[in-house]
Amino acid sequence: MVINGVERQMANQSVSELIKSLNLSEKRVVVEVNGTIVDRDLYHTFQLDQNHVVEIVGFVGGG
Amino acid sequence: MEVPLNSDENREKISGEELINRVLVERGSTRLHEKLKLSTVGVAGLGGLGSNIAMALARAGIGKLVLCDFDLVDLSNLNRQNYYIRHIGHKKSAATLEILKEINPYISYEPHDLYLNSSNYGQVFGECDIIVEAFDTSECKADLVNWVLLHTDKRVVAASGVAGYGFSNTIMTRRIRERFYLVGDLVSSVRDGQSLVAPRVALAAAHQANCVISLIMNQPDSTIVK
Repeated sequence: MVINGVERQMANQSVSELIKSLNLSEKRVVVEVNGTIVDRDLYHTFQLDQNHVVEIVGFVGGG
Repeated sequence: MEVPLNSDENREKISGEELINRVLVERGSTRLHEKLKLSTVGVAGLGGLGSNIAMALARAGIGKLVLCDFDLVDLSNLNRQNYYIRHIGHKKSAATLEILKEINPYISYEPHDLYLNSSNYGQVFGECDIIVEAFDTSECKADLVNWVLLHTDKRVVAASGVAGYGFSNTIMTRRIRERFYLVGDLVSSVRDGQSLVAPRVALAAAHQANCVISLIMNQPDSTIVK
């Protein structure tokens, strides 16, 4: 699986599980898989495998 | 609003609006001025980022600005937000409108005193070509950016990592993907005990406003990092 441009050995898992394993919060991210933005309602059901290219952008507070 | 712009008595009598437009063309270029004038930009949140972004875009001569915030100006905002003592207790949307009208009264302004969320983004920003995310909390930031990318074909210029002072050169504009630009160092948050300080927040705000203008001008900015 490629995450933010880096090839990583990750178990097949849902987007939700991946977000958690990266110590991020579902409410504070934008997730793109293979070039398409994933709807937050689908984080739990969207299953990732080794062929997926994932981009995750996390936001921090302040403005 | 009558603007006493014709201070030079020998100057021909033309309207304030014509005069402001002429000056904007003289200081920029006709092409820049015309393209900015035809644009509608939304600013989501009028705090440290948004109040400064709105001011920069109004000065640059954007045609229409949609300005939205639910909050009131508080004394604690004056350390970084573009308000004055006289605005304390006023709605940020109304205070911003007042300030911007003193800069350019001939721009079309649409202020909203409203707490933005996914139920009203479309209604507020429907006619905007570009939406600038200038919220405070990370949850609100992510929510708006997700909405723009999933439900519209608009572009969004967001910010993340603007707390603290110093490290000016770590404030960057990144092109994350098509239609999504992100300003900041991505890590400096208020949660790490850092406070928001005027210059660094204003730096990020200027990055966001500058990004908006380069997008309007359709000019790929070679300094934007991927």
